[in-house]
Amino acid sequence: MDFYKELENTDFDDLFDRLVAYASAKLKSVDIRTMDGKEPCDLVADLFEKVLTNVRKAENASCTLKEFLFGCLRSDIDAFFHRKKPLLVTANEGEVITNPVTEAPKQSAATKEHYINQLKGVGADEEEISVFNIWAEGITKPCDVGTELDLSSSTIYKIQRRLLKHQEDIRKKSKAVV
Amino acid sequence: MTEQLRKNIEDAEMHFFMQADPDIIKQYLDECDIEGKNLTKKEVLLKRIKFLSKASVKKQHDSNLLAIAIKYKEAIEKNTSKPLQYLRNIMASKVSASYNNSLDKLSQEEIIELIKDQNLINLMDQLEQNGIDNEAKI
Repeated sequence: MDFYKELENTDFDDLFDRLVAYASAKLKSVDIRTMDGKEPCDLVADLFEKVLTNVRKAENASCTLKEFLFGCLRSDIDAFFHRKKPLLVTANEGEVITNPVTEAPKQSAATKEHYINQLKGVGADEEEISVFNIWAEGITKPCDVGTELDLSSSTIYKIQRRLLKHQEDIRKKSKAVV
Repeated sequence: MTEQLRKNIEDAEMHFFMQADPDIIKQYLDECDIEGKNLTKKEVLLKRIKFLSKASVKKQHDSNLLAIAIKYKEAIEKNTSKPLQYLRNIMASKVSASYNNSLDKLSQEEIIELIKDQNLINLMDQLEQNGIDNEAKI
């Protein structure tokens, strides 16, 4: 990565929004709004500060600055989930819930087919199921998924947005059962 | 859910937030009630991030300038013709500045002053081609 050139060409407003949205989605997946008392925007600001002051060295990374920051954020949040494994407490009511993200694989019996049924159960349409099937094959970049389904990236983003909502519905439903 | 499927879903989620249209990201933030609520906080944090970024780029630029100036001093000592000719040309073009007429009397600071507006990558390449070791990273 040409780190300094990337810094000069980065749209920080856009990148900040994307990282905050991603952090929010990850925290929301386990029904929490903060991590170690920090809101998503604080987590993102902390990460930027570490990278820009060379505490976390991005210069030698082979990926882009955006990929590097997303990778770091994902790893930070996942590390937090694993530290708090197996239980997380919701910020709102102090209610204890299981953490679907960090659950050991053998604890979950859900297969691809089972998950597709769950998606259908919360109203996912055929387009969403097609996208999910492509993910299951290991193709996860929206542009690649679009190529596979002969759809534009913009259409894939919209389908994926609906899928995110339905995944959230599944989590809420499982929580209600617990 | 298998571990691989879980990883694929998480990869897809990350790629979505990396690549989705800005409007979709804004819409998501609005729905999470993040955008409006933290607008002032976001502005403050972004201001700091942009400042740190500029400072980081400036620090690296200054470090590169210094590394190149040191190499030019070396070229002057070794009397390597091409880089010296280039320095003479820059000096000649800076009519308003008062530099020593003789290259060997140029200080490191004066060399930095001379080259600061030039394309540093070209300068590095030129020094390399003329046998002056390049240790700086641009």
